[in-house]
Amino acid sequence: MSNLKMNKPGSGVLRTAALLAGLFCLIAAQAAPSLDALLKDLAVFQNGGTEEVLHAFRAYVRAHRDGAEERESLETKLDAFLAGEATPASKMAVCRELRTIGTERSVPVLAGLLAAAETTDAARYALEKIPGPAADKALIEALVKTSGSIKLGIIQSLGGRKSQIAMPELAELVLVGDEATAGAAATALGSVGGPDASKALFNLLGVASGEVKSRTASSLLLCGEELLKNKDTKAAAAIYDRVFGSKVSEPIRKAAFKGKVRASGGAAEEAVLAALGGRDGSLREAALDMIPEVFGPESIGRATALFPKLIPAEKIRFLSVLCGYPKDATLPVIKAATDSPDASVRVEALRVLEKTGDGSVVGLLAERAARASGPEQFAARTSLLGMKGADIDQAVLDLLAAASDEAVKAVAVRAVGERSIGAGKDALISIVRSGPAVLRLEAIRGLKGLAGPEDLSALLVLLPGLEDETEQEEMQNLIAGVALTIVRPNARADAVKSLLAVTTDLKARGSLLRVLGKIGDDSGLPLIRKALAEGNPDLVDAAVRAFCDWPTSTAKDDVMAVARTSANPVHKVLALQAFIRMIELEPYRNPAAAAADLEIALKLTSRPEEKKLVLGVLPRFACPEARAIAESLLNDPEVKAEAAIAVARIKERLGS
Amino acid sequence: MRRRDFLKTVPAAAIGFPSIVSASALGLEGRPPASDRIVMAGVGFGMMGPGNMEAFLSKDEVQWVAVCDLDKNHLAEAKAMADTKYGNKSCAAYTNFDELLKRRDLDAVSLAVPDHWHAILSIESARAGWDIYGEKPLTHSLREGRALCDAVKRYGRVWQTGSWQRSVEDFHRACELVRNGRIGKILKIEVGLPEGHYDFARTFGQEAIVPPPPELDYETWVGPAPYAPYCKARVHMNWRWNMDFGGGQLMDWIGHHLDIAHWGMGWDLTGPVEVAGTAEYVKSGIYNSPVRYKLDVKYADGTPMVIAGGYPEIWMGAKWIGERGWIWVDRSGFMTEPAGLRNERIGPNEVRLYRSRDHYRNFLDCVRTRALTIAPCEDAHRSASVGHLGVIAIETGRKILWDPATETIIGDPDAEKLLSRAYRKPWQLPA
Repeated sequence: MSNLKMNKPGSGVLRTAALLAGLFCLIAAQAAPSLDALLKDLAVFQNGGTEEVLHAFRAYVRAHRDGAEERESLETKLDAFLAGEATPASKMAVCRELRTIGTERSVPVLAGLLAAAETTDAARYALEKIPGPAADKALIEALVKTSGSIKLGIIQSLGGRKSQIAMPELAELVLVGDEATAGAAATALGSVGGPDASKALFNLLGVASGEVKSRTASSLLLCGEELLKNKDTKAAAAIYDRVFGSKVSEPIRKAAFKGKVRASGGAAEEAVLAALGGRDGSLREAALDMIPEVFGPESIGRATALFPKLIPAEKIRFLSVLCGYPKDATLPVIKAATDSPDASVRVEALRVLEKTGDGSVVGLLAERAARASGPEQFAARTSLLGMKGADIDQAVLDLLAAASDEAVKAVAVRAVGERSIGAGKDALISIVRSGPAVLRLEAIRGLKGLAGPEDLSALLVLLPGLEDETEQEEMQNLIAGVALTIVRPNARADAVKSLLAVTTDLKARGSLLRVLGKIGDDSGLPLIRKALAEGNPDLVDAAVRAFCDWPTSTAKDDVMAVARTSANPVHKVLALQAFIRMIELEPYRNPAAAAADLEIALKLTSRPEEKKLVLGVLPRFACPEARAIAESLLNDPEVKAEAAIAVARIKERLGS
Repeated sequence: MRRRDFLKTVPAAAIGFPSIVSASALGLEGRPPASDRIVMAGVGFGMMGPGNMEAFLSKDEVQWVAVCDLDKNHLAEAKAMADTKYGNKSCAAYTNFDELLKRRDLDAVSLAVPDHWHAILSIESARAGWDIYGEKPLTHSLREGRALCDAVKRYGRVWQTGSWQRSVEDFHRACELVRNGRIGKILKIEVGLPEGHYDFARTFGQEAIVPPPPELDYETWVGPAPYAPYCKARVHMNWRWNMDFGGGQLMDWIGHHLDIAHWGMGWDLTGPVEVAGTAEYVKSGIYNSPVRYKLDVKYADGTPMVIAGGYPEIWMGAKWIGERGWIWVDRSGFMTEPAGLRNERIGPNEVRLYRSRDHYRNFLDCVRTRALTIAPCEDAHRSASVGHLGVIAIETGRKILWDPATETIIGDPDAEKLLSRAYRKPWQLPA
């Protein structure tokens, strides 16, 4: 209640204020009970009961644990609580707090809880984090008094504490305990770490078996890592040698091999090379993993010399590793691998060229991108587009200029665009102007990332010359896309309008009208209306489609007029669909007015396609009128399912 | 040696090749031959497991041979998925993970178990020599995360975290735009996460203590977490709302949007230097994860970040605010200011981030090549660490000073104690 704000009482409201103040105190007293009261309630808490008392207890501790005196007082009371009668669940709640605030003062009472099944976890939770040797000693003493899972828990806690003084007991347990106890002790010793733990585990490895041996070996790996971190490579090497020879499991043997390599200093390269050239497949795998750690750019050649001897799966791994090396050291091997008889190796080699390739591989990649298929083609294309460096860009341009094969040239055209090679823009425009048909479309697409407003005039001139419909459409999209980058919205159609004004060829005019529609600059609308009025079928078709492409709702009345009056059924459908789309573009409209427009659209069609479109938009304008329209279609066999969904959505939005 | 490797190195005649071999096993019918397949198993099918399994089953090179779950109903459904896919009854079903561990034929596992089981199962899987697809958050405590990263490195395993947003075009593009300085120096980052508790399993309110159903091994389900008696609301899917088993919305989502924020900044291998936080909770019931929360975080270069759930001004997703605009990305959209920035092409000579368009495919590719996946263990640990530190800051009510290089809390012994969790007997984190 500390943040309860009350107005300062004035002279005329003293009595009210006094009452409020009394109420405040009462509420405050209820909201912040004393620790004694909380503990009294907590003492009878059972798992499964209401947890409000836990929430309140936690809140109290959080509010009273930061000052030294308050904290000490809190700990004392919690210790007393643990010593008294209380449910195990409540003692768990208290121990969770002692995990943070507990000190050696709490150890005696916690030690008393360690041996009992119902409180041992709670006691360990707290003891694990209490600083000082008293907690270690309590746990060690409990080891001899406990068995089974309770003992396992205590062993785990000693490991968690990295308890050096528990070393002898843990080491003994590995030898004399049952399998579970010995395994837990071995793992705990790994956590404890240090020379003594290493020594104990080292000795144990020779006598342990089964799961205990496996846990011992893993713990030794942990100790080895610690020794390496501390630069004690000699001791680390001894451990890794021992584990390596212990024949526990392949993963552990491989891990030990890696440790051996790391500990071998100047002999690391020889160790990896020996494994890589050996007959042991498992070690070859481990050796491949170690290459990045062991070989520098100057020595990687020693390893790549063994590449041809590896099996395909290993070659794939090796190629992946080579990504991290300078191209000078690795490129010959990778290039050779692109001709491997194994398809997977070829794919991987092509793939890693993205990171390791230079200008010299551009031709190779383009060739594969043009000729290969499936993953090999994909890898070649991806690498060609992803390789870094100005030399790559220049190599692509050189290829574009020199390639005689059209399929390869098409790849180069695409690369110019995808790589945004500005110096290649004129070459692409030239291909659009006079290049072979097989390259034109690729060149138009490539220009999307290169052309700017300064190129609009040149692009517009090319538009009428394109015979192919797909090329026409791609070019219209390209021009519109470039125009849309012009900052002033009402200047975006200027170039198109200017050209339209002087163009007489009907086909060319139609094409320019389509571009106007895609740009959506409102200053272009009068020109489209004028073309529509001229009545020439080609121009009418272009004008209707331009209206229908309009990206905003400004052309809504125009498309509605077409939908109402056109004799061409295709135009009617296109216009009606555009009308419905444009209604959706005005989410701010009065819902009833929008619904009325959608009702008009419905009346103009008998096709289920448009009815479904209307039903899809109606819920965006949820209102009783929209609901009535949707409900009117519930019995229409062709759209009743969509109508039911629309009705449900409208009802949901209306909250009815 | 695993079956796949064995087949590669030993001549077929030497292993008594069966006289009748299916076309599928030989790699006809468009599938890779059995010797080239990646043999997988799955553990945990309560929520993310089935979807992950379905995705892997759709890959021709995967041979799914085993499923494991403590709930026999989930187990039966998972086994049926694999058996239906292959048209046989061969998928082995285990209720005991230790039994699964005895298999020597597995290459990889997909783990989708409650958070409190993540570290133990993952490290055991690494010890077994399996590559791992694991769900986020990486682990249930920060110290577990470090132990898992070390184990994955120790045993040389490939790890993919279920932070699949990294494999989605919008997120990738947004991060590349940030990394290439398109909005200039980053002044602030906002990470919006969900709020509240969501009733995934439709078990809210079912908190009456009852005997566990016979199909569920509840004792093992509780596992290393502090014991709590069975009630329906505690287990499947909704376990995440209790901090002993999950981490609430904060930890559920930190591995998604914060992970993306880190990726955009190139902070995959580091962490913040300061974390402060506040939270609100429900005051009754068994769910004690924050329902509304806010973390104020600072990185070494001084960049501030806000991570929040339940604050509408912080948009869901990741938002970088820079000197020259902002970039926001979420599963529901990708917006930039200026707007045209969204479509700007990133050239090959700019910073190009690791590219994947199929998270599962990326994992399988890396199992073959041994390369790092797009969401490796260390990155996931660093993402989860921010959430863990946030939980600690909320718990202590103090700003946490963090050294991301040594992964230690500076000057706050109480907070340091919260970097790890206690394990119930007899559970233990393996080495």
